[in-house]
Amino acid sequence: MDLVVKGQIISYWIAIAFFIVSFVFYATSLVFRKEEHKRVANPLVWGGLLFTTVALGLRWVQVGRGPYLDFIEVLPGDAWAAVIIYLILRKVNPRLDILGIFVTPAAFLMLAAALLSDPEVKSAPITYDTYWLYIHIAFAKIAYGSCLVSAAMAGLFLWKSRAEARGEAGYFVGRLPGTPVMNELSHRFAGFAFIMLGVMILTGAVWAHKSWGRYWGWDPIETWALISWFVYGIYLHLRFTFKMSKAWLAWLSVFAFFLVIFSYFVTPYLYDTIHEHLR
Amino acid sequence: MRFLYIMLSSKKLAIVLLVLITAVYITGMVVPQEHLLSKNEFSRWLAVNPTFGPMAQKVGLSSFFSAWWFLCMVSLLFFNTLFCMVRQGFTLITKFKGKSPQPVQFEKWPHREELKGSPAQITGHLTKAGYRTRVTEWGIYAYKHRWAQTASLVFHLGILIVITGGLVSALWKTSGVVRLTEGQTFGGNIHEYLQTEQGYLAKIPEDPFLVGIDGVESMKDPISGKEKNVSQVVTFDREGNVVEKREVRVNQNLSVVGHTFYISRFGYSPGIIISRDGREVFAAYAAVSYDEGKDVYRGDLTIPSEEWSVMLEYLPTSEISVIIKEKSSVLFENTLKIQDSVDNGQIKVEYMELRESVEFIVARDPGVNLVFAGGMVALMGLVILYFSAYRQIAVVFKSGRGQAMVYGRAERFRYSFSAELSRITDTLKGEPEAVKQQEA
Repeated sequence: MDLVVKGQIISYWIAIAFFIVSFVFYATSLVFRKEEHKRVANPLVWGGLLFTTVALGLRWVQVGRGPYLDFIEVLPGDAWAAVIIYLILRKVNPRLDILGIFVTPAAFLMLAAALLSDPEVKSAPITYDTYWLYIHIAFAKIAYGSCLVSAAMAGLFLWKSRAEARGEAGYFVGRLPGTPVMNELSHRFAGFAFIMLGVMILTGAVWAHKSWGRYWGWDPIETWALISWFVYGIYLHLRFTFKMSKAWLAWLSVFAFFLVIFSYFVTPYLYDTIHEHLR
Repeated sequence: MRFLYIMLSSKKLAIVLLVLITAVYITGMVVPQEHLLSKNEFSRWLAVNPTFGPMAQKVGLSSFFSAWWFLCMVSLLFFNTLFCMVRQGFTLITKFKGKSPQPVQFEKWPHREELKGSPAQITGHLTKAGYRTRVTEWGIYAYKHRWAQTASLVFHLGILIVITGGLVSALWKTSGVVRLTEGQTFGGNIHEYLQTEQGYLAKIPEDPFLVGIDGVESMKDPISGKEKNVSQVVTFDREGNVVEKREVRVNQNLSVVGHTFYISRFGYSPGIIISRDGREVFAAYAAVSYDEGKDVYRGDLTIPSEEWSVMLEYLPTSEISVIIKEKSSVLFENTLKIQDSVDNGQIKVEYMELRESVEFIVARDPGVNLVFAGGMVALMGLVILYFSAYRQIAVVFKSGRGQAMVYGRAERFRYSFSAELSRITDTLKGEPEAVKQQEA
């Protein structure tokens, strides 16, 4: 078991090193305007992802269940999902590889925070002994990743459109895809997040029904997840039915993402809840 | 009547209601909710907020989901969604029945490109791209994902089914708690044994049946050594026939005679007798349940006749620790083995035997299937809505020499539609020889 724990820590450090080096290359590519630095940084992200996967796998072996409890497991899981979504996005639109400058530091900071948190192995609550947990968590991760991308695209859209309006588009802004593309990606990911949040809520309801004989209990995290889902629903209605201004919608997407973050990371500390992922 | 129809089928009303309901949810999460707190905690909150607290309680903010005004908002949203669907349904029927669009309309379509190609060639390419084509008097009309226009209807239908299911649950769901002790069999009418917050559960089937549990087995987590799950065999016997006999665990419940049995707690039932000055004040199986947070088996009971509170803790060696308090003073504190009897001069506690026990939530919810079915329908609608959009292309030929104007429009995702249209026209532009041959 000692070997498994040591392997985990070493894998996390190697992953952190990969993400830091790739961040440095992304940064120098931007500062010194060297495209070839990005060509070095891009594969390094894959290296970071590989070692994060190994570390998570070893944690799984160590605790005998999926890595979904406490910061030491949740944060690397989130970093892993964020990097995967970034890589998919990069595949869809290669010009978005520059987003690595945001994703890589986020990933290494999450991994570092996980390493600094309490490493104690905690047993999962009895109601977690079900495959519905994995389905629920998988959809939650995809949903939150999509919310992140939607908000990031919306933020970059706002930045680029303002810079263009002032005629101040610099190298970084110039390197970004056009505003229509980012606007489209932002609302596509918001739509996708809406579906994934819906599946997450539905699978959670099925699980609750199987565990406690009720599919909805107004648990704080349930309610906050429903609030996030409603806000994305409002966003999509405003977009498709009322053709609201793109800038307003972009702000709404950013706001919706903060709601999601609040419901996921903050509510477990504010309320007594049956969701025990960070307790 | 028409005004009412227009108002109820207004999408603006839908947005207003969605925003209002979201605001209520957020307010409900800021104001403490009665169902999330114990009675004492809620009373304390009321005492700390002497002005706002009672006011919030009076208007239903402290239990917003059962407040009349919130139910009115949800009902209004239900009818608003229904009427919006009816209105959209009529529009769709008109659209489906309508003829192909006319060239005069194309000027308003957002995508247009010039093209050279024969009708057969263009039709071929459009078909390859998944479009259905129709030759008209002015050229070629092509479309795909026409049925995707119904996606929004499907999604909202799902939402209506979910709300209906929720309403059915709220009106007709019954649930209660029953505690069974290993080896014990309840006879007679189960009404007597299902206690709910309102009293005894009333909607259980009229015919009597017997419930028994046996083979209780707790499963330990190999890593932490804590309880991971519990399994027991539950038998339902009606008039001498076994109706159901199955192993039940947490997350693996048992549905029988229209009711579902969920394990809510598990633990032990020590049979104890407590006497005061030679007078028996308590003689029954007490309940000691597993407390996950503290990884111990504990239970509390009150003896109202004596104003005593009794705290029990099961120890791994089958011993139990007993503390009896009267208000804050401890009257008795000791650890007993099975068949022990301890007398401190004032109180005598006898620990007769130990049985394993389990507490079930017994529920009958006729709305649950509707909610899940509605959820599935809504998700299906969303998936259609997300992955396909109604796309139309019109190719108007300018002359007989293959000069054509291509117009296009998509219900959603215009950027990707524009890319698709460009791909089709670029392919056609890249085949001048083929065009010539076709013309020839």
